[in-house]
Amino acid sequence: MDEARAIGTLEERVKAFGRSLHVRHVDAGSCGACESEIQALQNPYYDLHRVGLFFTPSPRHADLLLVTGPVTRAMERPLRAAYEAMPEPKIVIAACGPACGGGIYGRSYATLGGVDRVLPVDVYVPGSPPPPLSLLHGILLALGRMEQKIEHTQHTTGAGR
Amino acid sequence: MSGAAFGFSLLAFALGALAAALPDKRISMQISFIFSILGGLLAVATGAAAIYGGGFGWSVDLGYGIGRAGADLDALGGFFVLAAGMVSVPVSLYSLDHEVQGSRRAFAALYNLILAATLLIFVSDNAFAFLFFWEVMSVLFYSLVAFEDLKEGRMGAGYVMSAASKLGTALILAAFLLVFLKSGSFVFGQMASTRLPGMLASAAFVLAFVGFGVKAGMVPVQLWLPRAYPAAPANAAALLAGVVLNVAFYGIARFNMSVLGKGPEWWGILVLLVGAVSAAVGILYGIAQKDLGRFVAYSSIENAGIVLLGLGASMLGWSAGLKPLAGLGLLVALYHMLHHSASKSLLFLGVGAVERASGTTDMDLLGGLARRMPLVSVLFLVGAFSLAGMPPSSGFATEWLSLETLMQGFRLPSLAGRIPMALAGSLLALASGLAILGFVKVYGSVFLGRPRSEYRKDADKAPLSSRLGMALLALLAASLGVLAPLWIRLIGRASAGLVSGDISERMFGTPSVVLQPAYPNFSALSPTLLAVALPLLLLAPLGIVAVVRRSRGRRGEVWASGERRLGGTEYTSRGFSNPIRTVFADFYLPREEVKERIYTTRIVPWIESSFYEAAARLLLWITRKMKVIQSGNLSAYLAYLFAVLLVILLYAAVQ
Repeated sequence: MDEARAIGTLEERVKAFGRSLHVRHVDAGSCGACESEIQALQNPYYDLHRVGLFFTPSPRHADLLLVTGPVTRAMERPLRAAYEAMPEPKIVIAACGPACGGGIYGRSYATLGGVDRVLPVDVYVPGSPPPPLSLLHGILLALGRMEQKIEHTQHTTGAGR
Repeated sequence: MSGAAFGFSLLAFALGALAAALPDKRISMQISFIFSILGGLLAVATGAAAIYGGGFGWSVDLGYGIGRAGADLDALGGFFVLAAGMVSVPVSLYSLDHEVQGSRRAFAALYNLILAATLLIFVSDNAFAFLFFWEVMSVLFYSLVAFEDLKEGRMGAGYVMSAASKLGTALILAAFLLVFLKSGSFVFGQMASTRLPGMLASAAFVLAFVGFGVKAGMVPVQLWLPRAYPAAPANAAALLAGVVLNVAFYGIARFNMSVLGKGPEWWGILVLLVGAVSAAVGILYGIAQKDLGRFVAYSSIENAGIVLLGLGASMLGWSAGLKPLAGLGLLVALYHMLHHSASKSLLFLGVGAVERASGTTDMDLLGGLARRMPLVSVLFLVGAFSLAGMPPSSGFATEWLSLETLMQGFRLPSLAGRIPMALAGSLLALASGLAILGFVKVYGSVFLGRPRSEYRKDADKAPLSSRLGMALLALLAASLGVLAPLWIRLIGRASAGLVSGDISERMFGTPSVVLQPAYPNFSALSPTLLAVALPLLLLAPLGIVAVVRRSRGRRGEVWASGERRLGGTEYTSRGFSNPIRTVFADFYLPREEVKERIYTTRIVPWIESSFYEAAARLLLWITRKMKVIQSGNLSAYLAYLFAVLLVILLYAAVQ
């Protein structure tokens, strides 16, 4: 299979979506905690439909791929297939610590250690599991409807001494 | 002219049958089928000559009260000979290759003989000769159905078929004898010139109608049909369903209409209602099938029903004195019959090609064959389009004309005639709608989608002659729709002598490619122009797409929930037809049972056996009652004999 590549920048891709978005969730070897949190998104308390977000069972209808888990070797091919099956334009979110970089599973004989080793990830949502509001924040961040809270900063010990 | 052609045609079939006995098996069978092609071509010439140039007649006196036995071919018989020839030539061509021939050389001989017997039925001028060839044809029919040794179910199918055929012949014989009582002659011409008293004529009508109906496969005496055709080899099935089946309609036209003449109104109503029920029931059971061959066979019942609809409308119009309606009904019936012959033979040959490629006809195991055998799939589609009545095919033209004929019911004087016409029209509409669904299911599950089992590597390498045969049939089927005015002119001429003059003149509007149902200013349609306009209409969206489309898109894998293969997750034929099974559950009466936590549901066609079961129950009831006098005591039996002897002697004394 070819190397999966995103076409265009995130802003360009998001422009096409308008105010409605369909999400396909793929469990790529998650521990199951993230799934509970994702389920919670649909309850009346978080109520993600109010912001125009819907889960869909088929990648053929999806605009956004929400991946949980560290990507086990068994799930690598199905994950790629799901990404391939989505129509352009499409967004990928790695939701949970293991999906962002392997987490406690790391990179091993069984796991690839993060979604970005397989697919072009647009937004990383850390936390193991990330609470529903974090997930919602991550999705809205991808859509450009919320600001990023934490910027990438680098700290070096002994600097300025 | 037609007589000579007919003689040579019979000679060709006879030589073909003999050629099967030549030393080398492969070559002998090929020579045999070449002779059947020749005979078929001569039959076409015979038919055309009989319709346009006049038929022939010759006779010998058989004596013994049977009367003259003669061959007499009029325009009507000529049409049937023409139809038999036209359809049999491509089927013989298909059979030419050794790969599709039956397993033994006897097959080629039987094939030639049944064609000869069928042609002889069409020219028999004598009821006795007619019945003789009818029986010869039935025996050959049985041998062809039961021919393949290893095919599952063919023995039972053969037995059921021959039993049903015996019943039909018995009824026809009874009808002929009833007329003979009055006419004193077995010659059709003389039988027709004697008018029978009402009750006797009606009894003869019903007996003959049911008798011929057994062969046509009308409901409720169709039991044998869906079993017999799939059990036969493909080319035999094509021959039986496309060529031999027509003898039933010939019988109805020759005896019930020509010999018995104009009857009371209820004759037409009976034929009409039986036809309507056959059409609807045939296709309803067809949809519930998962075997490809069985579906195609059930579709024969539906089409037999539609032909009967035309004949019924013709009889109704005749008895009401509406000459145009009478002529129109007959013409439409013959037209539909011809269309069915061509398309059904094509489909059976297609079934044979599918079976050759996959070794099965179970639709749940097929799929994706369009990619493996593109030519066969296109030709099958032509036949399916035609039988589903999709424009601009021949089926569309004939079904439209059938519906229009039934809509003329309002011209009938009595309410008793109008209501069955309307009812029959609605059932025909239901049947043609369901037929579309059925053929979508068949084509979809056999040719589209992904393969559900392993196919032969050389699936697309069907022999050239067999592909040519199918292509010829497809061409014939398409021409029946596209060149509708020409065919209607021919059929109008052929059917002119029976109930009214040549009706076809009344069926052309202005310009004459436009057809109308015999009465002007009712409705008009042109299958010919439609065949031009519809492809043009298809060009419009293609053009729009070509202009508007920006990118060529991206081809991806089929989404199978991340699995590598679909693995049987596709829409099955059963799944596709399940809504129909649910909606018509009250009709199907599926048998549901739960055994060891496994739920199964089966559709057992109760209507198929209902007629025969009722008859069997009656017979058993009578025999039970008769058992009282069957004591098994020898002296008792001697006493019976003595009593009978006494009665006979008394009767003789009184006389």
